[in-house]
Amino acid sequence: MYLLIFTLKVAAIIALALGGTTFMIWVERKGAARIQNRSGPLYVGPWGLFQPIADGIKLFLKEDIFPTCADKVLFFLAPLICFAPSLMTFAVIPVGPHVQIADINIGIVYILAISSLGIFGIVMGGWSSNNKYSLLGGLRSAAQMISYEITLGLSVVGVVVFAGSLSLNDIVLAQGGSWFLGIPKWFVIPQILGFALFLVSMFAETNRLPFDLPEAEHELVGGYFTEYSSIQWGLFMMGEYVAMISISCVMVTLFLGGWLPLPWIGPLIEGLLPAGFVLYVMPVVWFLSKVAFFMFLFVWVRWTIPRLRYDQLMALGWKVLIPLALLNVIIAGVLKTFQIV
Amino acid sequence: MGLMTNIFQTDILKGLGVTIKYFFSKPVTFRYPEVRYEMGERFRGAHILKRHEDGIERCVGCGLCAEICPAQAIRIETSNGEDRERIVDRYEIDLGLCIYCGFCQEVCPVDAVFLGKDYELADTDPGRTHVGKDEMLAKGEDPRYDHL
Repeated sequence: MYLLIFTLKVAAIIALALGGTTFMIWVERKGAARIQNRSGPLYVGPWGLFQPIADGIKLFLKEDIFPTCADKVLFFLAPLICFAPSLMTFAVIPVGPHVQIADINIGIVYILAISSLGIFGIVMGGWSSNNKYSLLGGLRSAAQMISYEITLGLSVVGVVVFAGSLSLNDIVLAQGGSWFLGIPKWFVIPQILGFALFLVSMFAETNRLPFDLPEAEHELVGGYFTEYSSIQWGLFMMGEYVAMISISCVMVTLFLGGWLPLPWIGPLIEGLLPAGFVLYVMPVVWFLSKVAFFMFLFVWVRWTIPRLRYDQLMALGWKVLIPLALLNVIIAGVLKTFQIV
Repeated sequence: MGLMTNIFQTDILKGLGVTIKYFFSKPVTFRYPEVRYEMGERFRGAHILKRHEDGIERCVGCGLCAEICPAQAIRIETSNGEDRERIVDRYEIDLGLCIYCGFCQEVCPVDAVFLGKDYELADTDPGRTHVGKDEMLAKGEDPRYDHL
């Protein structure tokens, strides 16, 4: 019985992640189109909703091309290594009070460790393609992700200090209740600096604009996946979107109270619904709507801000964000020690 | 750029404001094959031939249009009828040659030939770009050309 429920949970969360990915690709294309005054996909399904599925089928049917001089084994493994870790982070994310695959007590450390595995896929892809553009893309992404991982890790420290736990479930529960005037007791309020740092490094971690130098279509012809075709390319692409969803989930869990409702609007809506629904479904709805906001932010920012230059990226990472992240750790410590917040 | 702009990156927020404004504006895309263009009054498309009220063809086969046509796309063959009247046997326009300048319409002394509203004239077979008299006369019956 336990095993069955566990399996169902795993299936549900994977389905949520992959379904979210397909939906996200549609949102991206539609959002890009609307920002540029176009209509975007229209013909496959209602409002073009099935366009990503059609694209997926097309990718499956295309020929797998292995470059002659490529390292075949690494070339084959790279997209898998890129895709799998981003899916693995969903294991510890609490989607609702009872919807979490594993509540391990070092959840955050697990996520940081797993999400940095993704860069191996990118570097391997760049190296094994035996193409100078791919290699440059792979090297860039390695440098970029390592630099921004430090900021990411340090901005999480503030949250951990406040929650007093590394378990994601405990972190969510620590954000219950509200300050004066019904402002939610989410960590985004005392940790506003940490939130901003996490936000910036989140974009860098997922290789999204304005930090998409590893891909850099205009200079590197697609970067690490220049040589990739068919579903292997598709796995890289999907891995990027799954990573976006998982990092948004982490963001919501750490700073925006996870599945907790908004202090007064939440109970107001939940009062109208049956009790069982409120207990089991509403937390997931709150969680997903918060994640949806960040997903839209990804699209919104991508089609607004141009790419940074490589030295600007490094300067921002090492000279601005990391000192600020250290400052944020000190602020968190001071606030916690003197019980100010 | 002021210090505050630098710290809070207000330029980025301004940019985001612009893009979200466009996000909620109506797309300018014209869904062409589903939605058709409304052509202007003086649009010059494929030719039509008109008849008189009583059903007799207006064209008298004078050949002025064929003469003035810069692309030499019009070909007219006439013969003499019983009362030595002129009968137009063939009136053929090669739409592949035609440059849609409208000289034929302008020069026609009896207002027989006009440039119509049809514009999707591409064909995979070059032989099919010729349009004959009957076809153009049939097109001329369209209510869109009643005012001519």
